[in-house]
Amino acid sequence: MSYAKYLPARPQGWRRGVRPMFCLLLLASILLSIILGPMTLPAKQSLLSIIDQFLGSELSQLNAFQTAIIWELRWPRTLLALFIGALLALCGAVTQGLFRNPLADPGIIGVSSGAGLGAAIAIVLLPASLSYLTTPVAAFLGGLITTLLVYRLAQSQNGGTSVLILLLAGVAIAAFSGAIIGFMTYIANDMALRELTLWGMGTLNGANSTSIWLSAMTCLCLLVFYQIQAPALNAFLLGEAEARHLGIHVEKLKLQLIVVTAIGVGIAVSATGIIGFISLVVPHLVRMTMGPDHRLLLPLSALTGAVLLLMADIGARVLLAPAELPVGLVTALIGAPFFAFLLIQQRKRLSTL
Amino acid sequence: MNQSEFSRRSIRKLFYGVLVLFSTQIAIAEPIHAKRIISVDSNATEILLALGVGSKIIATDITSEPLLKGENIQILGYHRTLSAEALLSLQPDLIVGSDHTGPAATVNAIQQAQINFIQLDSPESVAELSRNIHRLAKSLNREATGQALIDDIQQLENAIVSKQNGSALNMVFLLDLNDRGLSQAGRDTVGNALITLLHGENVSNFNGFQTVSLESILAINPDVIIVGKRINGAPEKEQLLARYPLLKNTAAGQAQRIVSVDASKLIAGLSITAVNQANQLAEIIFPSAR
Repeated sequence: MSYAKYLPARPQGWRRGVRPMFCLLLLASILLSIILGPMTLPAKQSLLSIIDQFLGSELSQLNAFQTAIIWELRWPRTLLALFIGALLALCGAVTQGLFRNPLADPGIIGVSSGAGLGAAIAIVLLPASLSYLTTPVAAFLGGLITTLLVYRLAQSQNGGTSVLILLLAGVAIAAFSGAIIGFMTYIANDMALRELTLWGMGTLNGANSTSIWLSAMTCLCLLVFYQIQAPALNAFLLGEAEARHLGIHVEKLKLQLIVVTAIGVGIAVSATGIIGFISLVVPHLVRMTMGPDHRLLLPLSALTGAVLLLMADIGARVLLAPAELPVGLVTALIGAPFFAFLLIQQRKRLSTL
Repeated sequence: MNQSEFSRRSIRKLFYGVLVLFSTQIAIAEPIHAKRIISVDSNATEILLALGVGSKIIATDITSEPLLKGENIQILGYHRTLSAEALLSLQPDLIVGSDHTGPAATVNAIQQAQINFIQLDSPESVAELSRNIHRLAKSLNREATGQALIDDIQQLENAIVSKQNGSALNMVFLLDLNDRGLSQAGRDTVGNALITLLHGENVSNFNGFQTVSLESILAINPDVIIVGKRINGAPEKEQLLARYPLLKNTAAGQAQRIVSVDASKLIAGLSITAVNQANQLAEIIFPSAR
């Protein structure tokens, strides 16, 4: 059996340079994320400290306190931003492929609204002292349950699911959970209300080893799983009937992809709250530059998502220092205008689609 | 053990070693000589100013900003979304916050960095406010000033009781949400704390702030309506009456007992200013004081 079809396609022409460039960009953003922060540390010494950490040398002249700032505050955030950004972008790319709809993001299968609902219930109704545990778990479960509900609603009697009904069911469920979130907001006390609002904006401030490991493992598993499904997703682009004729178990694939995506987004959301725009914009950016082949689109989306979220988090930490912005606001601030710019650029090409 | 693992361990050992050294030094000098104070709670800022250590505050949160206007200090943003690195970068020797200080990760980082951190409770009574004052005064070695301050508020509370003179009034605390209606303070709110301080009966039987209709307030017919005024806001009482002229028909309206207070002094629980305001309100509200 040949595995060649799972491997990323070879880009042609100028596109050949895109992958290495993005890898370099990722490396640069990781370094920037470690160098920059509200505390001014000498950039050169910070870089030396990174070398020290990995090579065991003692080149850096930072004192123990400054080293701790880098390794106990900046490094965990950097890692979390990396994995969550990649995870969100990956899930976005797959959802757009699955729905053959460039406006789809994981929110469309109900996962975001479900996670929001779970978090709202945990924040408002469950004891505040346990909220560090209950909120992420409830958000994850909420996301998964609503997704399954949406899928069940879209299932017809002969066992098939229509993408259109899936979409509409997602809208209906999102509206319903929106209403319950509204009710939760209404009965919430002052404290819960503020927590709820902030949760909705997303932050990477709560990075700890559990959230980092969890998101890293999920990210890796999803990368591998999606890469294996990439040829099938490519066939999906032709239409469901065509994919079926190409020998793909359409229903099975749909269910698998939906559940796995719900798990991925659920974990991302439970670790950081809702961070918008990455899952919508990043796959688009990559598709516009590199074309729709999922074998290339998926890994590059992950890479770009990681870069974008890292950059946004640097912005969130530095822009208003010493105060801190919710990173979700920054991703939208960077993402939305860039997206609009690209749309204008490619208006002509897109209108023929 | 490979070399990088070894050096990582030794760095960590060195780090904890320095931390221990650092913290013992602080423990000896602590906190009497606090020279760089960060206050991230408006109530605490007010107490610190009253204790005469305002000049040592180097940074504060957004709710304390109006108290420290004109001072050359850093603003750290919203007190629930503080950045750990920003706090540490200012090298404070004392951080004063409240149970609202957050997020948890930042609080953990402060505690791990072994910086003196005083987390006050949000006071709902004069007794709790006095306890906070005592705690801060003691740790800053200003117990005499603190005690004088506590005596002052105690006197204010006594003054309120003497003005009240046994009369029991039904009271409601409202926030005017402009065109979006009125919000009424429930049982577990700071509005309730203010009403309790005035020895009134809070007509609300729910918790938190709830939006209410004008009709329900007319139905309750409270003896006193207290309106929360925002910073820079117009006199809320006149605004409220202009928007809801029907309120003039309530018992409160008839007896001229619609009064406004500065809501910003109630954000972090009962503050020193709020107790002062309560005393002024008592003068307007209670018939025997008129």
